[in-house]
Amino acid sequence: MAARIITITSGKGGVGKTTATANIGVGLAEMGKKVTCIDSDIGLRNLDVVLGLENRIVYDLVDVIEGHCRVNQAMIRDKRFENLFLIPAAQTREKNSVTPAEMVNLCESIREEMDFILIDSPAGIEGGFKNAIAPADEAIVVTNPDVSAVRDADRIIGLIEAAEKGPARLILNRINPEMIKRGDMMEAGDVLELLAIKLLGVVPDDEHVLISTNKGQPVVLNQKSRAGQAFRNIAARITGSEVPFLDMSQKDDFMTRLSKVFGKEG
Amino acid sequence: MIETPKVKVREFKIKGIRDVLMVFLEDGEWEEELMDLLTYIRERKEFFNSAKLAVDVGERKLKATQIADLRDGLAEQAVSLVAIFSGSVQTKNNARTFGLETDPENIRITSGKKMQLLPDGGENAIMYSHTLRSGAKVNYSGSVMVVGDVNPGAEVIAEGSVLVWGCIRGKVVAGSSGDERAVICALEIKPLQLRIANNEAKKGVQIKNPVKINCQEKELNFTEWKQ
Repeated sequence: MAARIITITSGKGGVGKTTATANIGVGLAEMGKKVTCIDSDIGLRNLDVVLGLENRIVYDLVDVIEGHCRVNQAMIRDKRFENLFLIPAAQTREKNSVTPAEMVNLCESIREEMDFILIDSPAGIEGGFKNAIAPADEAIVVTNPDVSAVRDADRIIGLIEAAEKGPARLILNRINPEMIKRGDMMEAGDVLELLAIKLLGVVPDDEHVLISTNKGQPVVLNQKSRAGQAFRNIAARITGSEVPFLDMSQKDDFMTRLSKVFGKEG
Repeated sequence: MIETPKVKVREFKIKGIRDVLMVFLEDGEWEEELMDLLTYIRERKEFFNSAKLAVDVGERKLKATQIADLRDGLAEQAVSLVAIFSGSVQTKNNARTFGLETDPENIRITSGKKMQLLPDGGENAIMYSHTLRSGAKVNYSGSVMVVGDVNPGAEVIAEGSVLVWGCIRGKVVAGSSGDERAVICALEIKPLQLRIANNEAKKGVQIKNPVKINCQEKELNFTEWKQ
């Protein structure tokens, strides 16, 4: 079936790459897709924690690449979904333990068995990012509505274009519904105008995200959470479904502004 | 990342001064150098078509007949020889008998009088057909055209003019080596830094309509850009 390989990246750290990867992965798995998430943040692995699979790691990405184990041995099957797998990063190694070519080979070796391969990129624009983007068919850029995160997102979008992996799609994470109600969220429109790439989803700032991350239960499984709904919508859009954007403000003006920038598509 | 095909063709250093192209010849056998130059030009016919050419021949002592060969050879390619620069007095004197300019300074002054959108006649210009994002840096000896935006964190530094078919949000410098005739045009500006020659726009300037910026008496002058 040949999987689509999607790299999730941001430039800046702490904007929600790993949370997004975990939730999109679980969201796609919930829809019955066969998904492997690869944590390429070698030395600072997190994806296993967010997915609640930390205590089941035996082999990792570097073990596979160095030939210490077969790739299936490093693929941890999720507790909730038997069609979701994780290849964890090595915690005690460095980014340069892996080359872009090795990442491509690894992904190609499992491509036929999967529907989606999601790669969680490390922050930064150096080797770790290059490893993460090398195998990608497409890229998702995660950013927050603040100036420094947007600047870094712009830089990374440029690098994705230069690597001919573009056009990337955007997830605007941690949109604050209170600020929208007060009309202080004007920058969101500016963000989209500046980055000028297609919007894949808008995720509201939601305390459920933090609570569920700490429990190793991705928020996408929480039917009551707005952020969970946003990630379910994103997963659906990735599979090609047309899903309207969440109405964050109840007043509708934020969405009107978004659709002005992007047309009806989303 | 794209490598140009490795064909063994002699490359010449070309520079644009106003509307004149200047080519530098290396020391060596004159006949050979002349043949190489003519081949080089023939292979770039469209670029050189009806160009005005100035040739720097170094310390070479050229006879009148040799200069005539050069002039006629160029004329066959629709290129007109306007100047010969040399350290040799003999070469200079011979060049003057053909009515050729021999002082580089005169080229700069006489041919640069007319004010154009691109002061160097657009022959020495480079185009980017995409938005320049953060981290992109353009530094060019002629004019620069961008079809897209110049985002914060990107910079364009041109010795000539800068045209942006989009919004300038980053840093743009025109006339970077001091040419105050350079202009900046954009559909919208909200720049981090904007400069023509040594004259900087005041911080926080923001214009939402097509704007042309030129330099008048050390002040930047913002007018509507219509064309």
